[in-house]
Amino acid sequence: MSTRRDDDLEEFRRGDSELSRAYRRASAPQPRAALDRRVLERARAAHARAAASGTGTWAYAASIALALAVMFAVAYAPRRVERTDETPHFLHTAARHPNSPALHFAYPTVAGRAAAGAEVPDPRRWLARIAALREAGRNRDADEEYRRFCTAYPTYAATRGETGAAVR
Amino acid sequence: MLEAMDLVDHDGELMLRYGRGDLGAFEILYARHKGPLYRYLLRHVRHAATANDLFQEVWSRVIAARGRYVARAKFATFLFHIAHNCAVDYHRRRHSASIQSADDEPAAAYLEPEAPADQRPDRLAEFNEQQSALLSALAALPAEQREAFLLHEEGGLNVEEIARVTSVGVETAKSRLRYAVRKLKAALMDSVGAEHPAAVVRSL
Repeated sequence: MSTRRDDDLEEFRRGDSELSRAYRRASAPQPRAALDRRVLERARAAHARAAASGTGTWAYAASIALALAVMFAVAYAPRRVERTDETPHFLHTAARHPNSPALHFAYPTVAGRAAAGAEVPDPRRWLARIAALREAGRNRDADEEYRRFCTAYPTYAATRGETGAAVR
Repeated sequence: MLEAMDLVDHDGELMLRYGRGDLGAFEILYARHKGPLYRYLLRHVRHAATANDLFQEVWSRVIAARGRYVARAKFATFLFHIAHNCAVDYHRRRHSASIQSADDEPAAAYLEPEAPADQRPDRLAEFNEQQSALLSALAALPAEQREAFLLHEEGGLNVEEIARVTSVGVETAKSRLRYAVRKLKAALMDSVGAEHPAAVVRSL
């Protein structure tokens, strides 16, 4: 009995049973034309609303994009001006101390230091300081300082002959 | 089978096209599914005016869902899932209303002919006793069994899809369909036997 029922169900599920054929032969009512019109009108109205709001959405998106572009321009323009001075912060500090090693390292020559706006040491005083280091027996310091002096004033010794006691 | 799959993909594609703004795609989709959906609602709720309202509501939901539709299952499953939910909501509202106004309106007032007068079976000369008995037996089925039968016949859904649409297990859906088929087949046999007793064995 159970197998018979399963057979009936399987036959029905295949879609070609006597039951299905009888059901399909029965009346097949359709929605009335007025109902069709109402549904299709609703679909058209939704379509039209979407098209209208689509245009509005595009305009809205464009205005947002424009506003963002202006905001970025305003926000970044001053920063770009500020960043034209690429000098590291430690050199601004070193510029206040003419003989600091950092300044010598960054701007070895007097011309470079002058171009960077740093204070240029007086060569005579510099040589006198080197000579004082030698007199005090600090030859290693004097040599180091003289090497910097020669880098800063590459032609000084040759043109002036004023290195004096600064050179051993 | 391949043809059926093509049709499935075609319906889903039509819905996707409508979602992209192609109104013509909706018109094709509507023409293809309006009859089965209408008969499912009409024979499920057995109330012509309610079926009309639900029919519009189902299509309104389809229209509203056009932008987020994803063709995960075949379109008929999507459509009849919405229809099932609308029918469930209707039964809840009706149950609630009948509790509130049980004395005001008899339940029989909800029952109307399933079709307009010009389409009613008893008005058509060619409509015979067999189909009339079948539709009567369908109307007399428990709602769950009737719905399972209609989802299969009108929606073209298989047992797994019926289970998904009605939110029950596959075995439950299969059992409902089995009972429906057995009762309808018995009604059909009775009507055939009454008209032509010798044809019973031959036709079934």
